Amino acid sequence: MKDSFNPSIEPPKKTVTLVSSDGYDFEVEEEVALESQVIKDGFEDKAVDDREYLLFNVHSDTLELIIKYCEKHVSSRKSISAAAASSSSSNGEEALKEWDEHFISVDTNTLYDILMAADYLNIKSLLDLAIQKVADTIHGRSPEQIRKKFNIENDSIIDPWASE
Amino acid sequence: MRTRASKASMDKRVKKCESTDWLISIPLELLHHILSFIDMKELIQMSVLSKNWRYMWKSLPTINISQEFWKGDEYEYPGSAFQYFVDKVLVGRDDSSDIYKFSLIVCEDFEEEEFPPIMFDGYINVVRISNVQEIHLGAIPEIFVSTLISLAEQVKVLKLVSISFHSDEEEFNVNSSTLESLSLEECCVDLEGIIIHAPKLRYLVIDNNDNDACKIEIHAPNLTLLHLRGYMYGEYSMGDLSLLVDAHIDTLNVCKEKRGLVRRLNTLLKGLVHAQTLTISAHAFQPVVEFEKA
Repeated sequence: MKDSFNPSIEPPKKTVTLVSSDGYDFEVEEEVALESQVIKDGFEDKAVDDREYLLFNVHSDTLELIIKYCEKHVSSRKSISAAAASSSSSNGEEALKEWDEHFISVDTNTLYDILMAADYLNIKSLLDLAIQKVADTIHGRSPEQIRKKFNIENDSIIDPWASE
Repeated sequence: MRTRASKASMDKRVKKCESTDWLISIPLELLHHILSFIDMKELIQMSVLSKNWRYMWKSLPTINISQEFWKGDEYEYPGSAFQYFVDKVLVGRDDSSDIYKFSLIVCEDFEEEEFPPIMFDGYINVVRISNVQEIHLGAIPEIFVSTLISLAEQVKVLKLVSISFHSDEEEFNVNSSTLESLSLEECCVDLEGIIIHAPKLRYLVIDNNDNDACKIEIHAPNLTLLHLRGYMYGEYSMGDLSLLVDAHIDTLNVCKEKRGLVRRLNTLLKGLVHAQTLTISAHAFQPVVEFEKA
């Protein structure tokens, strides 16, 4: 379906290298890396053969997740717009939403890593997803459950509700 | 895909999160964004978490108060407990920090005496001096029209759902240089007219579910999205709407006098000639068909 829509032969994909804080190289397609607004902003200023980004704030475990997210979003966007162009029905957006939900269902410490990386790399859709997930984690939970979820130590001497 | 970097300088490791209470350690802007999704009742309950959380609720830029969170609680007078809570939140917060967004959603079954318009005026004044930009109000039994006008002239976003306008003015006549988005949904207006002059307005939703036969005037040269729902108004007057992208007309007609309806629909549609897409529901178009037949 996609090929018939775009018959031109695609040139070989350009790649960039992302280096995690703990020194691992990740070679990713250019368009995947450009999901990050920070990388996009400085992209044109860099020489073509020197497209390497040192991400001092992103651990390799997190970077792997971030790349997985960006790759999924780049490919989904393509198939959604291809479906729209050929006016064939697609539930691509819903499927992507489901994928997102599954992706962000992680433990609270991993959620922190994703949140901070999305903020640092300025990937808006991922940042929104992580923020909403943290809010959902708080919502509807008792203080004791929130303490447990976020490792909060109860250092209050006075309980403000004690008088009630 | 993953390979060891050749550079020895990349040895520096950033420790992954293992710390306690990371919520408090993240940039304040992020924390505020997260907490903007949480109701004030839950936020105040969170003040028992730890010392760091004790006064957190006092300086947040978003205040969401919904009576939804008070349902099911056993109070002798649930209305007054809720009211007391709203009072305490507005009086108790740190008044040196601005309120960006204020949302107050009351439940439908509230008695008017419990929430008199004058008390609501007090709340709004507190919020207004804190430079509020965005206001959502839901199901408040009565609000002075003058209060709503002064709000519309200060904020960027005003959303009113199921609100009764207490007519201390004859018209909802808004002249706002700030307003970007205005929604009047399921409101009981009962006025002589709705007149909107708002050069920055981009988004306007109005539904007239009370069959108010008042006139409506829209002057919003930057309007891109317009939704008109509910009964038809008594008279339409549309200013320059040349940037309109989307217009949805989904009006109802109960009036017997078809000629008048067709004339009004005509005026309305003429005002929307610039719209890139125009959606008219079948029942909005019905009088034209009936009139042609007759």
